[in-house]
Amino acid sequence: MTHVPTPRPHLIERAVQTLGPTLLGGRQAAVPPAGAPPPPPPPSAPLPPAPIGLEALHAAGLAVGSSGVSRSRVGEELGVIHQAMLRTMRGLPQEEQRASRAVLVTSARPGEGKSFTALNLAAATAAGGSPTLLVDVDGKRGSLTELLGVAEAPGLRTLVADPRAAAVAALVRPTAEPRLSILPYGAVQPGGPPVLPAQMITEAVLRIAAALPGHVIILDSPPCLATSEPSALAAVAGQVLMVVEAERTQRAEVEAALDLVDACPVLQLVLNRARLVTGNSFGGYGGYGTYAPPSGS
Amino acid sequence: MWAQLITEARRYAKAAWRHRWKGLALAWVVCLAGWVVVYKLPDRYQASARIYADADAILGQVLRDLALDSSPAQQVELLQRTLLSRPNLERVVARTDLDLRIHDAYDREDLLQDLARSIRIQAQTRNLFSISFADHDPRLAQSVVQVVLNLFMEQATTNDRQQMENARNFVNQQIAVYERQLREAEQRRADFRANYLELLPDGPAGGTGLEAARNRLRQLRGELQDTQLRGELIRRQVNMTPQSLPADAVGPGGETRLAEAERTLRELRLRFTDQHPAVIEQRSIIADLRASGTGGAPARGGDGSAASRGTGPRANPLYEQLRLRLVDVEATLVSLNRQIGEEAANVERLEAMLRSMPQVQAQFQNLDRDYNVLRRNYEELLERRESVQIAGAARTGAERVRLDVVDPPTVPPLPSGPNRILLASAVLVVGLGAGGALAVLLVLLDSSFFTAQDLRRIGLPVIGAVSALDPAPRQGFAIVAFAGGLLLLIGAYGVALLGGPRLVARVPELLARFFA
Repeated sequence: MTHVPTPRPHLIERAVQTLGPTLLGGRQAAVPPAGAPPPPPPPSAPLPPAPIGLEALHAAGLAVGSSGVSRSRVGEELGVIHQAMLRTMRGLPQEEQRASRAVLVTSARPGEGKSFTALNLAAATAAGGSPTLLVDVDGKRGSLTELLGVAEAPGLRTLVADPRAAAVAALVRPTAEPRLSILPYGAVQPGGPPVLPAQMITEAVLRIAAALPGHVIILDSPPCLATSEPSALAAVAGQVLMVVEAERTQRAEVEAALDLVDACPVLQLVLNRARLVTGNSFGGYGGYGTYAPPSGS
Repeated sequence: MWAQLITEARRYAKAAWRHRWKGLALAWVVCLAGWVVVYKLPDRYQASARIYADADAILGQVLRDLALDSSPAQQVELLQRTLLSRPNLERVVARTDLDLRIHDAYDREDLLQDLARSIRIQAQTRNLFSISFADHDPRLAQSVVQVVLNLFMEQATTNDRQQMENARNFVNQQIAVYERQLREAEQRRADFRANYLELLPDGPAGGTGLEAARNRLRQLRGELQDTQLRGELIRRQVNMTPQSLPADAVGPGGETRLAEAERTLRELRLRFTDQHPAVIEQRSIIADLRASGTGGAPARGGDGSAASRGTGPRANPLYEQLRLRLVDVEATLVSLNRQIGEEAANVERLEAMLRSMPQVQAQFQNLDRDYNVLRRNYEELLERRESVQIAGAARTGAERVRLDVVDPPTVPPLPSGPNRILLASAVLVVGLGAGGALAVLLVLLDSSFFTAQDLRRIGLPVIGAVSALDPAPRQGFAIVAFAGGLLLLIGAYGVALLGGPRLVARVPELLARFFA
């Protein structure tokens, strides 16, 4: 609604196309802090980093959130997903070496909409009242970190390189959305590995979960069939959301990806970018605009 | 239920739509290649001939009862079936240029089988037949049909003659057999007849020899009785008649002895010739009388002197005559008795013979019947041989199965096939079908997910589906482009049909130039 995409079908293409202006806008939003009403900084943060603006979030693909004027279909769908996720989370047993509040969002192939799903799910969860931390575990080009224009900011890499518990809260970047904060992948540390070993990432995730109790931690991971992180993260995440792009990803790929994240006992599927509207699927009965609140409120 | 079906249908339609260009491309490739092949096919020229094989109705009716014959309709059918036998086909190969195409035994086998398949003999109406053959060489097609036609004619005539010859041979053989049997029967019958001639009836109405002998015997006996009665009568007359007449017992005429002798002589001469002994004796008596008496009576004036000169009674001529008769009758009696004896012996012998062989007549009747049967058959066979001869003459005179060539085979000037329009259309259909099939195949191979239901089949909980954020790209242009591609293909089909052989046959060349 706020972001009117070009008619190109793919998110990545759309993102790439809009990358330049987004980055520019992001910097503009980041450098002059007068863009949006500044949210209250986390109380325990000694060096409160500048919050990420709504424009950057929208440019990165945010489709829902507290700033939404009216209900959207995607918003409703994400609401359903977030409710289901929370229900699952509440039903999980407490285990050692497993962060039950961590949700691993992954997919079989790149470009299926992991970042979109993770960002929007995190926004929906935050809007629903739970403090939410979105962690970008995928550091490659075009990832959420880059889309949000925080590639140079400290993040996961810093956390891995400097394993101090107190650092977590300082590294987390708040956003324009209330209760939603983001932990970027972070800039390359001098002397550190360009790509973080999976083992270190899992340890970092456990530390984050320990450092931020009461937070829902959503991990935006690279694709299963391309990297090893999801497989390692599945061992510590409370549940896995496998994003499946409609009309593209083959069943065999999905099954192979599911095999890789088998370490997590709770595997769930999300169909993304569904175009075929059927009568017996959610939202099949059109006219959701009728459920929109009066525009005056 | 319906909703699900519709969902499935939409799902597959959508999936297929994604593969539209692949399908269209395949259709194009198949159609272009197919059309090139169709127009590169060699032309086929069909030569045909029509024959009128008349089952000559009039002649057939004339000869129906006379000659041995199978029906002409059957003959024609038989011909038709035997015409394409292997020896005949080999003859066809040998008499045409087809043997130039033979390089080894396999070629030969293939060629013969191909001929057997492709030479067509069809009955158009009851009497009209057509022979046709198609080849890419028009002259060859014509010569094959010509050779088959000649074979047909040859076979029609030779077949008929052979049958006739067979019939004639059979009849001749039968006649020889019957002739021999007939001879034997005739011989047997003749021998039998010779042995028992008297016991057998002479002819159809005649009695047997035995009956004839009996009749003769009865007749002889009757004659004997008659003769005996006559002898008795004569003997009584002899007894009553005096042996001599008294001397004065002159005749009422008072004639002399000479006159009396002369009268007797006259009487005798009335009955006998001059050479008869009685006549001669009477003449000598008259001569004696004349010599002795010199007509005494007139000289002495009457018989008295002569009678007195005789000095005794004279012999009675009547008596002598009667005695003569009596001797005659007795001689006859003796003869009759002898004949009766002989005849009786004969009858006796025949009766004895009849008693000894009572079945002679039955045997003879049997022999006669056999003989008659044989003779009747023999005569019938002779007649039949005659009729076969007549049939043969009729056949050589007028062809029994008349064969007229209505249309002689000609060298076809224009190709008769292949039916390129039909084949090109078939290629179009096959091409479109191949494109569609490719799309369907890709859809079947595509295991991607279209709805949350699809995803649920994996077996894990699906907690939601997120609709595409951007509206579905407009399909208008895609539809127009795809329809344009299809229309272009159909237009190419039209060009292939109208612009025809030259254009399409040059497609490979054009493509080669394009890629070069």
